[in-house]
Amino acid sequence: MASVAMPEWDAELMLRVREGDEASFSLLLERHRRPVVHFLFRMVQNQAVAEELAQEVFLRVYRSRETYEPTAKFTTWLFRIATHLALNWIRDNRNERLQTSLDGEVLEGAVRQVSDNAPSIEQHLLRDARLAEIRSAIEALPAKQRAAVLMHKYEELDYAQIAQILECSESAVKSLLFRAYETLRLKLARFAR
Amino acid sequence: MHTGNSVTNGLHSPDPAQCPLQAGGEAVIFLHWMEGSLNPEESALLERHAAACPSCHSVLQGHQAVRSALDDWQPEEVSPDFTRKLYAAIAQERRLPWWKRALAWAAPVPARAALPLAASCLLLLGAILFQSPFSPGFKAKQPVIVERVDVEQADRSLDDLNLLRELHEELKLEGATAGNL
Repeated sequence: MASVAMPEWDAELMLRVREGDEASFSLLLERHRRPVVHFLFRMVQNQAVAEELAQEVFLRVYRSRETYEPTAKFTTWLFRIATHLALNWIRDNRNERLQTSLDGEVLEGAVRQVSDNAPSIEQHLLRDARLAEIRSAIEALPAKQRAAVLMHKYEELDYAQIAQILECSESAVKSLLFRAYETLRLKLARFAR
Repeated sequence: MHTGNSVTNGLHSPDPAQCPLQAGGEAVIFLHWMEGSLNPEESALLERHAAACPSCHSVLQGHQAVRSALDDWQPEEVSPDFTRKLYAAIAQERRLPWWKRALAWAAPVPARAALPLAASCLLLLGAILFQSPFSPGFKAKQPVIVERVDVEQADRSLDDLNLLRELHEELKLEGATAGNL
């Protein structure tokens, strides 16, 4: 992931933002907008909510510009804000999400994510079903395990970063990840056949 | 990512006693294998072991399936007006008075959650002020005096009552005698 490759550069940009350089904020936004929105989307599984939360993440980054100190990697700090917001949202909307699941609605975005390589209708349906199953398996994970898996798998953050974000030890992160992947392995076992 | 060299200990043989699934704590090797952080030698050892160990083979296959399934899940692109909306929000915030900006910075609590809390605080404050010695309607509590009644005093009172009753009877008798005369 590009945002992990140059952490010092990110911190440097943020320090420039602190000095009042608005262009550096634009650069930071450009570099981290996609990973943050995608992480939040996978956490809350709703594109509109994910973008709303991502707006709040960057707004908080901007608000904190004057007090920013590069004590940790910029991405760690950024994903800490994003994770915090996502976990709060999940906590506050748990009942609503449960109701949606019970109503048997198709999760938003499941259909739109299918790439159009002109497959048959049957292939489309199979792919939709497979994606819905993956999303549902991820959604069923406890929120912290979900965050850990998404940061590990898609954002390629290391154990130390995930530990800092989730405020736990590295061994706790490994344990979270191991349990999460085991759950996913058992739930998605039929994909292995 | 994992950088240790000892994670593959016990994988040279398919002996179940040295199987990662059997050896406590070694199962995390699958995590390292999945994220690709094992070196090629370690990875080859694990895969060779799994080829001879049905349990490990099944776990590796399962993790591979999970990895490939997760790869398939690609999110939507970010809305084209994301940046515009963000800068609009920043501009709007700059126009806010300093105290509102400070509030937003401190804790952006949703209004629906904050209102009941604020109402409770106001009620509590009102109750405290109402009972305050500085409030106009405040009446200082009078000290409560509890009289102590001892047994002797009660006895004396009863004796006095009996004496009064006897006197009253005597007076009535005297009155009656005088009336007869």
